[in-house]
Amino acid sequence: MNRHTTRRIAAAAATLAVATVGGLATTAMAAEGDDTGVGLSVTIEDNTPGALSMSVAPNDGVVLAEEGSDAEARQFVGSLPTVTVADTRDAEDVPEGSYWAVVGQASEFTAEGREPIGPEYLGWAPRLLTPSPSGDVAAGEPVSSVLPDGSGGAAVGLEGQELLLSTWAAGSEAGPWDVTADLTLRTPADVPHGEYSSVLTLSLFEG
Amino acid sequence: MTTPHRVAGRRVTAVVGALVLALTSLTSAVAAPSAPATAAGTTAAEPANVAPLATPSASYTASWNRVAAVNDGEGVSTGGSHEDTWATWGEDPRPASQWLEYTWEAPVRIDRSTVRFWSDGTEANGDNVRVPTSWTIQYWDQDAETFADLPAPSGFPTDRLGLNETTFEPVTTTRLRATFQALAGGPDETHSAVGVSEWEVWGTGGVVEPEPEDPFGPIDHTPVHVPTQVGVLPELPTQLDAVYEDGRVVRVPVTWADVTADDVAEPGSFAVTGTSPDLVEPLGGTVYVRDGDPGPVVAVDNVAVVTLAGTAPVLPPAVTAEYEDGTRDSRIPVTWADVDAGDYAEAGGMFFVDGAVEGTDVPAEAVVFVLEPDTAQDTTAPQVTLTADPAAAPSGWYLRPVTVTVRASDNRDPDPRVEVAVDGAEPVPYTGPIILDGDGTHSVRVVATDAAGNVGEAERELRVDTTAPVTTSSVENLGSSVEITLEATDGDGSGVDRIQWEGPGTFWGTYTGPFTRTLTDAEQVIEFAATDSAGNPEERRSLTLPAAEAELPITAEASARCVAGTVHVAVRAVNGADVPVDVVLTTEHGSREVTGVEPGDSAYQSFATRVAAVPEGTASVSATGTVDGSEVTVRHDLTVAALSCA
Repeated sequence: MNRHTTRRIAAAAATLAVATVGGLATTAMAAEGDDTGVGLSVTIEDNTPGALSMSVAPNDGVVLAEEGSDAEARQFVGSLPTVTVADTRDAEDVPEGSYWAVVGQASEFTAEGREPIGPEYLGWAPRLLTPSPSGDVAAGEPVSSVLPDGSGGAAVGLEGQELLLSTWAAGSEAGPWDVTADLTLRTPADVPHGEYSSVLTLSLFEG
Repeated sequence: MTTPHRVAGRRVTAVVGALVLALTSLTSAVAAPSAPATAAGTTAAEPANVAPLATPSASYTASWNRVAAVNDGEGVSTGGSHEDTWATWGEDPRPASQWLEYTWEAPVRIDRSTVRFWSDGTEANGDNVRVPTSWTIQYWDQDAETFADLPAPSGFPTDRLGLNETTFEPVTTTRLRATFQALAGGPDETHSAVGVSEWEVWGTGGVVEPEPEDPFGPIDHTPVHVPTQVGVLPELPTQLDAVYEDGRVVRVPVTWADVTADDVAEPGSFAVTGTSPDLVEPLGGTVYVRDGDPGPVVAVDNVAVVTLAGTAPVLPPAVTAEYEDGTRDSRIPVTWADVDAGDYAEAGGMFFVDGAVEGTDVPAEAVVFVLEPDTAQDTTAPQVTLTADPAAAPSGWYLRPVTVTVRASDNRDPDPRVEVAVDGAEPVPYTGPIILDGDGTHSVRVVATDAAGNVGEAERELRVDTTAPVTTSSVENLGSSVEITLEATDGDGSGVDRIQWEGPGTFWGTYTGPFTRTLTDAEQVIEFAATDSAGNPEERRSLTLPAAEAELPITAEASARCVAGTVHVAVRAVNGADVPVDVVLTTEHGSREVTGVEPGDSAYQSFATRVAAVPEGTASVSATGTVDGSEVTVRHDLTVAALSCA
C-alpha cells in the first residue's frame, strides 16, 4: 500500500555565461520567462485532521549561483525551499510497522540550443531545520554530483529518487518537520554557457 | 678385583675364601653402580607439578586442618572447609616462624613453585591466620646434608588472594622446605598463625623406577676407567666385554650418558653410566679428570677370571693402572705369561698368571678360578625383561608414545628365541623395540625359549594416553548474568579427570557443574582447561564475557524497506541509558554518526542502496557514553533481512 504525494518545484540554472553578480536576477527572470509553468509554487495543505502531508514553501524557483568552480568543474549552489512534512493522524490510525519517506528526483537541465545537463550533475545535502524530538526522523544522506563535490555523498546525482527525509516508524512523532537541502550543480568545466532549467520533483511515500 | 695391587708379588693366600669373595665382589660391583639417575636413551619427561608425589609435613598443623591439603590439587585463599587448608592457629603460644616441607622418595629436578596462602583477615592483631610477612624456600642439599637456599629465586611474594610464584635455577633434591615468618602484632606483640592451602612444585622426577634385574646377566664387564685432561671430553669405549658366570665373554655395544663440559671443568673423578641393548642392567665406569702429567704408574689392578675345567681362560688384553696423581686408566695393554693346561684341568681351584704391563715395571696379575662345568639337565627357564621408555607418568599412564624393549637371557643359552605378541595378535619373532603410540591400553606378551626347550614368559600392560582432553564451553545469557557450562572429552584416552576454571576474583578451582557469573562493568575472561586421568593437561582455553549491558542499555534495530522501488536500510538505536550517548550507525551502504543522543531518544538513519533487491546483510550500532566517570562503548551487531522491492 504505497501511497505518494508529489510536489514539484523548479530549479532554474544560473547563467553559464561569463557571469557577473548582476546577471543573477536577469537570469532568474529569464528562466521564469523561458519555461512557463515552472517556478510554480504549490501549497496544497492536507488540512483535514489526521493526515500525513507534505508541502513546499512558496517560492519562485531556485536560482543556482556560481560558487566553488575550479579548473576541473563549474559549480553552482543554492538552497531548496523549505519542505514541511506533518503527521497529524491519531496513533491508532497509523498502521503498525509503517513508515514514510520523502524522496527527490531532478530532471535534465535544459537550455535553448544547448545540450541538456543531466540530473546526475546535481547533488544535495538535506538538512533538518526542526529537530526531531525523538530522533526518529532524519534527513537523508548527502548525494554528490557524479563529479564529486567534496560532500562525501554517493556520487550519483539526483538522477534517481534520493532520500530527503524519512522516519524509522510512522506515528512516533507528529511533526511538523521542516527540511531543506543545499543544492550543488557541478558540471564539467567546458559546459556551454546558457540559461538552463530543471524540475526537482519531491514525493512523499508511505510504506 | 678393584683393590689396587700396590705391592708387587703379594699373593692371595686364602684360596677357597678368595673364590667366594671374588665372586661376591664381582656381582655387587655390577649391581650397584653409583651413577646419575638418568641413563642414556631415557627421554626427559615433561615438567609437571610433582607436589602430589611428595609427602607433606609441617612444623605444626592445627588438629582441624590437614597438612595433606597442600598437595591435593585444590586451593582456596580464604573461607572454605578447614580440611582444605594447612594452618597453625592451634599452637600455643604461636611461634614467630613455621615451616612446611615436601619429601620425595625419588629425586625431583625442579625450578618453579607456586603457593596459595590461606588467611582469615589482614589485621596485624597477633592472632588469627594471616599471610606471613616474609618467607623463603630451601632445598635439601644431599652433599652438604643441610637445607640450602634456592639458587637465584625470583622472589617470595605475599599476595593474599593470588598465587605466589617463585622461579629459580633448577635444583635436584628430595626435600623442599618453605619457612614462613608470621605476622606480629596485637597488645602483646604476639604472632598470627600461617596457612597454606596449595603448594605446587614444578619439575620432573619423583617417580620411583624399579631397577631392572637380570639373574642371568654378566657377572662382570671390562672395567671402565678413562682419564682425560681438564676441559677435554673423555673418549668412552663404544663396546665392552661382558663376562658371564660360566666364563663366557661376550662383546656388547654400550652407550653412555652424556658427559658435559661442566663435568670435566675441574680435576677430579666422576661416575658414568652406560646401557647396552644386549644387557638389562646398566654398566658403570669412572672418568678421571687430570690436571697435566699424571706421573708414573704406581699400581696395577689385579684381574679375576673365571673358566671352566678343561677350558683355557680368556685373559683380558688390558689392565687398569693407577698413577701417581690418583687417576686410573683401564686401557693399558698387558702381555700375559703362558698358561699351562694343567693349571685348569681340574675344577675347584685357582691359579695366578703374571702379566707384563706396557710402559711400567709394575707387574699385572690375574687370578683364574676354575669351575666345574654345569652338565646337569637345563631346567631353568630364560628370563624375560621388558623395559619401557619414556617412563610412565605418576598416574601409571604413558603420556608419550612408548618404546618397549625386550631382552631375554638364560643360564646357558646365550641367545634364546624370543617371540612377541602385541595387543593379543599372533606372536611374531622379536626383531627390535616396539613402539606403542595409539591411545588406549596395550598388552605386550613375550615368550622366550632356550635351546633346552625351557620357556620363560612375561606380559606387560601399558596404558598410553598422549592426547590432552578437549573442553567446550556454552554460555547461556540470563540478562544481567550468564550461566556457563563446561564439558570435556578425552577420546580413547584415560578419560577426563577434572575440568578447572577461573575468572576475575576466583582461583583455579575444579568445575563441579554449570555456574553463574554476574556481568560486571568490565569484560571478564574465564579460563578453563581439563586434565585427563593420565595427567595430560589441556592448554588453557578462554571465553570472554561482555561488560554488563546495564551500563549502557542501548536498543538497536535494523531493517530493509522499500521506498520508491528501491531498498533502503534503516538502522535505529534507542538510548535507554540515563546519560547522553554518541552513536555510530553503520551499514554496508554507509554510516552516520549521531552525537549527543539524550536519554530516551533515538538515533536513526536510512541508507539508500539504489537497487531493487538486497540479500541478507549486516549492520552495527556502537554507542559511547560516560558512565560513572569512565567512557563506556557498547556495540550491537545486527542482521538485515533480505528484501526485494521489485
